[in-house]
Amino acid sequence: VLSEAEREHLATISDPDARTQHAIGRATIRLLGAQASGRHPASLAITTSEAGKPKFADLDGLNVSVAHSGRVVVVAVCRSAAVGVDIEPAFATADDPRGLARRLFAESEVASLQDVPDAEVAGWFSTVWTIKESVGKALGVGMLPALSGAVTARRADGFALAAVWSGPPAESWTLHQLTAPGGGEKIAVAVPAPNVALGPASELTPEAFSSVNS
Amino acid sequence: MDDKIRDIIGAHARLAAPAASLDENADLYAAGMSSQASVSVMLALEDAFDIEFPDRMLTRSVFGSIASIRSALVELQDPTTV
Repeated sequence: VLSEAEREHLATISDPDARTQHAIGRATIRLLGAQASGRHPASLAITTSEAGKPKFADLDGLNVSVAHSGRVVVVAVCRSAAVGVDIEPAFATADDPRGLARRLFAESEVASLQDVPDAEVAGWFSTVWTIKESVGKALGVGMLPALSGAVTARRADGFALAAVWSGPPAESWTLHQLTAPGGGEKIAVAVPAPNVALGPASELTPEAFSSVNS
Repeated sequence: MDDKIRDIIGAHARLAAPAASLDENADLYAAGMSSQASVSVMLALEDAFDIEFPDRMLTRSVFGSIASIRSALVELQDPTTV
């Protein structure tokens, strides 16, 4: 499924887990691009931005984003607008999520954290993180500028975007929040356009990969 | 400076390989550094070198290798560039 350049790049990834996840992510992008365009997956040209975001070079209007958590690879494809996706474990990956949030997140988010019980802090942190990173990836700049630039607010029905430093205003974004089956990882999908519905997920089995290998 | 950078990468980047053996131009993301780990590295560098990374340096490439981290730190520590 992969191009020769992708296979060469894979060989340069030293961490075996990172290499496997990158390979699965790229293969999935190609399969989804092939489904959407009717072309053979290996014939699609994919470039990568400085921030690491893949792009279909010759499929105008088909945007893609990929994220890995170690156990799960998630790929989002959007026809009408840019898209960013992130996945993070539901458990605490930071030693001190409250302290990290105080240092990294916006004042309003830190203030709202005071009402979050200790048992829920890790989930809160992962959720806020995924939203920020999905926005950063949708804008093509990655996580670091989004740490303080994308501000979340907790609403009765989940989290929303309260402010975004770049792109359209926060109220014009679409945000979807999901939980991965099995491991409970938090997933966020961000699109800088209003009311973009989430389509049915394509579950790609190992057979789907082997069928296009020939 | 390089030893201090390697110590921080060893403690915060959560790589499979030991930081001491990394080439200075090796891609840290390819070595397994996640986005959360890259932020931990950034915060540890700020503490250790008593600097603050400006927004323009908050990019994937600045934290992508030992060499790129070193050039950013050198720039931030040079009073003529502040």
